[in-house]
Amino acid sequence: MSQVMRYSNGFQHFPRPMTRLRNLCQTFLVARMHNTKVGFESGRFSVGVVRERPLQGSLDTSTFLSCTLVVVLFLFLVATVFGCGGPKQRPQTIKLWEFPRWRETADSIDRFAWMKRQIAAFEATHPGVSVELTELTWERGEDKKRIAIAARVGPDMITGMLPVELVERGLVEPADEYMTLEEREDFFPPALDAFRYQERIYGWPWYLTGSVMFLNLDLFAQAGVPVPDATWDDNTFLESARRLTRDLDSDGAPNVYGFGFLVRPGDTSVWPFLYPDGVRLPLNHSLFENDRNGTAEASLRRLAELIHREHVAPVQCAGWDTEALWQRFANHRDIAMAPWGIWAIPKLRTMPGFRFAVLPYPAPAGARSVERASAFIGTAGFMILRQRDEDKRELCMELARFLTRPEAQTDLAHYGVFPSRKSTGNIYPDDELMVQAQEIITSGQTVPRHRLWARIDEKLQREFQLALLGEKSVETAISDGTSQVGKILEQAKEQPPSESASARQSGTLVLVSATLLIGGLLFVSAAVVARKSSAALAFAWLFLCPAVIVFLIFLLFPLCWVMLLAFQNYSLAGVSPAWTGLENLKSVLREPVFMKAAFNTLVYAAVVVPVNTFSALVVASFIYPLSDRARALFRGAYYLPGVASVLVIAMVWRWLFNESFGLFNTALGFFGLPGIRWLTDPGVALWSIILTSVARPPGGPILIYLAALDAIPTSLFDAAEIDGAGPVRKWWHVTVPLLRPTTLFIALTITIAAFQVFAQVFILTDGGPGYATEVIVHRIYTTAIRDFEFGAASAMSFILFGVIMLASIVQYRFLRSEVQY
Amino acid sequence: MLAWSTVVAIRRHESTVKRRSHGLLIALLVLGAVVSIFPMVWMFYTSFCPAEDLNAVPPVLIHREFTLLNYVQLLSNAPIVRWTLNSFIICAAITIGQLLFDSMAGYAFARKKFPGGRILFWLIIGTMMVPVQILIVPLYIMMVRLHLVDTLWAAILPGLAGPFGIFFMRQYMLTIPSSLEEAARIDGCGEFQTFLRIILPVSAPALAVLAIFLFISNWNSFLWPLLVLNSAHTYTLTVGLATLQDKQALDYGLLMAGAAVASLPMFGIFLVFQRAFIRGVRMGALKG
Repeated sequence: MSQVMRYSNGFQHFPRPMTRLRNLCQTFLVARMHNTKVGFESGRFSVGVVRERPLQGSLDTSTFLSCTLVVVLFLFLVATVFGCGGPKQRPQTIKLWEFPRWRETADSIDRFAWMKRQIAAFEATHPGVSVELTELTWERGEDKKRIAIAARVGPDMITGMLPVELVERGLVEPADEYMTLEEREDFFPPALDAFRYQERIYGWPWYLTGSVMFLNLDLFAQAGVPVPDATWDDNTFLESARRLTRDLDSDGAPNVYGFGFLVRPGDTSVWPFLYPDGVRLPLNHSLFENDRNGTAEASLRRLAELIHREHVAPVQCAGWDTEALWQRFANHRDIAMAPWGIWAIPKLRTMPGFRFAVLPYPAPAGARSVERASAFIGTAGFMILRQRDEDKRELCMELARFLTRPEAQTDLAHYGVFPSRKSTGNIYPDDELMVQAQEIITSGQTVPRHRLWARIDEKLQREFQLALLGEKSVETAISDGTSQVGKILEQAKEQPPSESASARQSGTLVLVSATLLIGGLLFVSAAVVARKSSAALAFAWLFLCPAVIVFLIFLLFPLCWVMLLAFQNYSLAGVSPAWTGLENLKSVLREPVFMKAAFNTLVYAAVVVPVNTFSALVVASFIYPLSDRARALFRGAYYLPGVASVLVIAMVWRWLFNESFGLFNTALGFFGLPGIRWLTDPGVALWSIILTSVARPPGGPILIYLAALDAIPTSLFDAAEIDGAGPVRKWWHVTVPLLRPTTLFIALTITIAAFQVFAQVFILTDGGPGYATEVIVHRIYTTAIRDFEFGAASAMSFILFGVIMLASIVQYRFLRSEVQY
Repeated sequence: MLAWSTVVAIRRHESTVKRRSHGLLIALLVLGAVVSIFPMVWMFYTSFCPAEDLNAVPPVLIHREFTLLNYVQLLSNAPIVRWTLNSFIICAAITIGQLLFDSMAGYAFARKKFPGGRILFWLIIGTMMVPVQILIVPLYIMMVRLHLVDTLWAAILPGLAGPFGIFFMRQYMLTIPSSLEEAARIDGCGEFQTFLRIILPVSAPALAVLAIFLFISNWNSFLWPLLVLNSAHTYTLTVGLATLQDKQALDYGLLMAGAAVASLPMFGIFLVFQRAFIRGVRMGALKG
């Protein structure tokens, strides 16, 4: 434990901006003083090595340079490892990390205004206390939070759902001791439950949200179906869905579907259908062991039947994302019932002429009323991360209590969520829909609080996707899912979380990797000195020096560090990592999902690299002979659009790929061809991703080719022309060979980028449907940043590195040329 | 090997290129350009549209009314000037640093034969093949221990040299005739002078391309600035704009207006540097 304290000592407190510069200087000085001896010894050592070799020339610049390099690097690394000192912060500063919430008025775009006001009010009543608010973003904000907490510079207080992994590692302060009995009674039981872990409560519930069933009343009216009431059961649901599904143009395919739903990792809206009889999802290690009577299997089969036998839900909906289903439900309005988060209520109200109702999930046929399927809810709250200072801990609890007080919770109405406290009362007066929804949500249940829940959920939902899309049978999907979940749980048992060991180990790792780096550097410089040195050599080193220093510190050092992890069973939650040799590599290679990802990446690269290299060359060659003005115009036209925000480009592609009104399917329909499920058909999705990469000639390479073409002496073209060569031959025999160094460069960089394809997949499909668009870097991202399994992620990176290196060497051999003209 | 005088004559001679059958070619190029430029036009177009039109399905292509509301909200409420300034400082520092360091290193790799050079070169190329996703966490921990988190330095320092730039400059400098340097040396230029007075000016087109790439890719970078910057006054434009977005329902009007505002400086940079494409070569010729 003392170890823990010692390590958390320096990292936990982060200096205020004003003192930061001073700290930096201090850090360096302290580090220097601390390690003068070590540094000196090491310096002597390095000099000793060098001196053994016969020296050539009196002024050996390169020796000097490499020694300087080594010393600078070493000092820097030492500062990195030990640079954790610095004055303690006043305990009265609370760092709160919060996500964007609601806009208070139509004019204000500040989504933190409420929190800022609350903070000001708190600071006013607590003199000497300041609350530092960090405004997170929804995009990747969770990643930032997790990484910062793992690096122990995170905030004191966070908002959101209970982070089980942090709780298991003892990083979250239990809050139950600070809650009075009345307060506990005042929270809705499911809300408090969401923060319960092994009989203790780790957070202050703030608000509740979750999904309920939404009914499009216009479609009910058009089909003449009576709107069911809140006591509806499965039979009513199925009967309504059947009658709502209508084929208006009698072409055999329905135009309006009774039901639509989402199966996406991280989305719980489909879970109540899978656990319909009110069985609470068993916690911890027995997710499916409880399932001997086959409930989940029967439910999944029932869902599959809705699609494939009853045809009341669209075939492709299991592959959809939120936006796709939303467009069908809210804009296209051809789906009558769908589960949505309650955020949809205010949003649907802004849709002109959209009449809707909300209902709880249908109860299983014949069930008693108590056994109805309860909605899965998400409860956000305030959590206090580990505090050594008793006063500050209390202060944080005080702030959490302040922020969750009933009077403040009435403002949650802006956000369209429900307060966590009973005494807040109804914050939606005169709003029948919200009151109904509140009733459903406040009796909901929370997903199992398990450290690896995100991974379990991903595996299961991916299998469900495959089963519902008809790619797999329900039995296979269930058994595959169960066995994968079993593996994860097995793994979790093997690695009970432990804090101190990993922290200590990371220190050792830093030292080992630093030693390796410096050793390698010494070796190289010794080898260099051993040879006959020259002025050219000295200048080469001089020219390389700045870039190499930046490289060593900010690239090679972290790289060595993380690569060493490939040979260990390191994970942030793991026990003291041990060297496991090639175990990580082996297990990664045995994993079918990774092999699928590797195959997809290969296919992607095999298509994209040649197509993009060639198209850039052709377009650049076309643009080159034009007038200056035209060239400038085209250069801009081909390059600039590529720099527009990725989100904008992704949105355009989504629109093009849209199954019902996208440009592609509209065009196909014009020619009487059936539409293609661009992103939801497992056989097509990868090709759609490839299409997004090759549809536009790449702007960057075109620019590079144009710059290179500029550098070719025009006399060479003239010479070719005099020889009577036609334009095509001239291009092929003069231009293309002369551009070889550029082509080599472009081919290599496109290859490297293609093997690292990530953004399109991340935004458009997130690896789905099933694993159809899974690629290596997406795997690495999930493994390293979401799961913190650095051992496995490093092993994957090693494999990727090897593959790219191989491809690069092959290209280098083919395209290398010594230019002579 | 070409004579020095010929190299001096490096100039664009579009007049010598025959302009036959250019009609078809230009039509093809225009078609490609239109396809390519479509998302950008769409971004600007929708940023002026009222919110209710943006949610319509199928998408309304021709809007009846236009509004400046998205821009007014964005510019009057958010500390957008501060964010833009931060982005600009970071991008400028990285661009200038890399132009200098990368061209120096590229020159060494292209022109100097030295032991270990090939290994070092491949080592640097090799780092391009490592996915950044794996480096982010160790690099972040380094920044934490150096107490650089929440300063612009954290966003700048790791970007000061890049394998892409080094590789790019090396490849370009390989195509510069070595007779240029020989001539310079005969004229009595030292190593540094040769680099500054001959190599850099002749490399101007490549430097311009690199500058555009660097500035724009850093302008757009999101994850790293988000990670190392903690407070609203150090945020960059991309991160700042993302704090204005809700989780479930993207505010498309604001999103597009933000993206449009963010892309304006990039157009500026592109236009400034794009002049160097042609000028650089002429400068090299004049120096001779």
